[in-house]
Amino acid sequence: MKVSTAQLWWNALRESILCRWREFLREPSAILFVIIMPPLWIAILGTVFNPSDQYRYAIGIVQDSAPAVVAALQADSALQLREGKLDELLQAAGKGEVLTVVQIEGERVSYHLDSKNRDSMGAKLYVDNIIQHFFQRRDAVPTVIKPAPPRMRYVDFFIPGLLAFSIMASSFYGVGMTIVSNRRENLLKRYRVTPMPPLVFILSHIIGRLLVLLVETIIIVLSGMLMFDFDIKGNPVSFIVYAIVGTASFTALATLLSSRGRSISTCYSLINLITLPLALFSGVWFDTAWLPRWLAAICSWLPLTPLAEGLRDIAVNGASLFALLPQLLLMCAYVVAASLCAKVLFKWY
Amino acid sequence: MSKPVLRALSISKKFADVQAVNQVDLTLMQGKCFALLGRNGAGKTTISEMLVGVIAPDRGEIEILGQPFHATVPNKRAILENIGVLSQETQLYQKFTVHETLALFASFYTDSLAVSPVLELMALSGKRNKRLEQLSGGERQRAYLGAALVGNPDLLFLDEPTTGLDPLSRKNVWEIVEDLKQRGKSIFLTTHYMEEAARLADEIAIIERGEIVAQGGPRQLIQRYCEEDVISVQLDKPLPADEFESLQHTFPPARALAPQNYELKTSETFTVIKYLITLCDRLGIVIRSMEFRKSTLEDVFFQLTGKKLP
Repeated sequence: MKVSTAQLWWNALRESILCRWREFLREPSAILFVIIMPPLWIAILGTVFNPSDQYRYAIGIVQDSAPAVVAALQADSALQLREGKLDELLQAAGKGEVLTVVQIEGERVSYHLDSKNRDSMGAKLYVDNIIQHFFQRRDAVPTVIKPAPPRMRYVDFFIPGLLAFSIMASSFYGVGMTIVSNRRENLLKRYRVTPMPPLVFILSHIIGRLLVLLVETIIIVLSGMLMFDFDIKGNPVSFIVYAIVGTASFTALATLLSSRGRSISTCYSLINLITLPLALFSGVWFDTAWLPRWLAAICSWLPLTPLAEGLRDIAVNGASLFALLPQLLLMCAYVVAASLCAKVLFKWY
Repeated sequence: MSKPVLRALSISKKFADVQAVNQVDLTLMQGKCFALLGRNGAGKTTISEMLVGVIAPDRGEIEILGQPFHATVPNKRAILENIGVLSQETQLYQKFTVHETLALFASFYTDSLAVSPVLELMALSGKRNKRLEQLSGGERQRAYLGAALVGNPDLLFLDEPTTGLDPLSRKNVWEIVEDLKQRGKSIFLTTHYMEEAARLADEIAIIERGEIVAQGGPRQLIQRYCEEDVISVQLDKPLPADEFESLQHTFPPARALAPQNYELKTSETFTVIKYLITLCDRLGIVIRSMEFRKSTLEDVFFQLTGKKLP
């Protein structure tokens, strides 16, 4: 039975989306990366970087230091003391086993530490405060410690970043590798000798990727909720909309990446070359505040940074889409620029 | 009266310094099968890809169903509605079932066939839910053929449809192609199998180094380029060189297949036999065996190109 052009578009799009979905479901590595790995990451990293015990400074005390001072330090629950000879303790400091080594000779106190290490400097300040008070120092102004909201848990930082990372990885591997593989197998050429509108093929990849995104989001958010009481403080719809825009940007970038190649190994290497620095410097695993300012400024323009930071802002701080407009615009700019370049460069065979 | 469904007028294609196709003319009439016969690398696939609009010819024109056809023609999609392609290089999704594959390709056409009858025609009804990766080579090729057919095209391009198949699978594909011909489909076939071209084609073009060196019906080609009978004779020792030269001079297509084996083509079979017996008797050579057969396309191909097909 002859169908109308509109019906043809619908039939072709429906079957092509089904095709993308089957490609995903029947590819064991895709299942591994999208369904199995994220909950594992959350379980492992959430447990390792979420210690329930109080943080304690590891301090080395040189033998024969004044016993009264040592006793004062031992009384502080935030310190974990290790006594030994100076040489041994310096070796331990080199290995990172102690943050700073304290040597107390009479009323003279020496600190052996790596001054570039902020943890060592923090430990020195903490220990020094106890010792100064032991020797009757009076504070110039009175200080009081009051409770503040608890610092963001690593798992709360990490889960939105993991979702951003998964969107990037599944777009590059799911769309980029699939297109290159299809080109290599001359499947794209085969499509071009059918009356299927080329846009159907592109749309099927975008919609298929959004379906995968839905699965990824549910799995990651649900895993976080069940294992670590993760919560999206902002509007869940904003969270989804933001993730969709991020997916669109990486789908466009993946299409651009795969617009010419026929070699799977070259495409694989190229994806690794791109994703590794993005994963390291876009605030997925660690806060970009740790980076040098100039590098952080550059990294804020990378496509993964607005996605990871925006999702985190919505989940942790309850940010609105309006508040994230600059990041949204940056991601939209990636969609437009990558799509235009892909349109010019794309080769079906 | 049948009309041309496919015409190529003097098409040429050059890749870097290699003239892959040079001024090829061909015409496929409605309901007929046209075979392009040649060795690997002769230019068959390049011609096939130019005809379906995958690559553009440097020169020449192509018409499909009476309309000009090339990569940027405005009504390309309407023309593609009437074309089905089976390409030797294409690998469809191996993790898809046969039914899913055919349903996918059916969705690209406005007037596609239902999947089930196509599966039946391809003798794959029992394998409809098997993934392509689970099929034998012959079954997979029939699934690919089904994907080319499910759009209900008038014109089928079959590029090396039986390459790599075992003899039984090859015959199965041939039977399907014969069935399609009976259903009125026009078929453009490229092959390097002589038997395939002889069995399926109404018109054959022999291609060598991108040029068509002969064209016509299978019998026409044989009559035009080869004498009727081929005589193969095996002797107990080789003919002396001067006697072999004399034999070649008297019966020009005579050739030595091996030191003691000779082959001659002639329409004067008895004269040749008499000549051979007299010659061997004079030289004291024993004729071990002598066979007669009709010329085939293989003889034509060898005659024209000096090479044998697999």
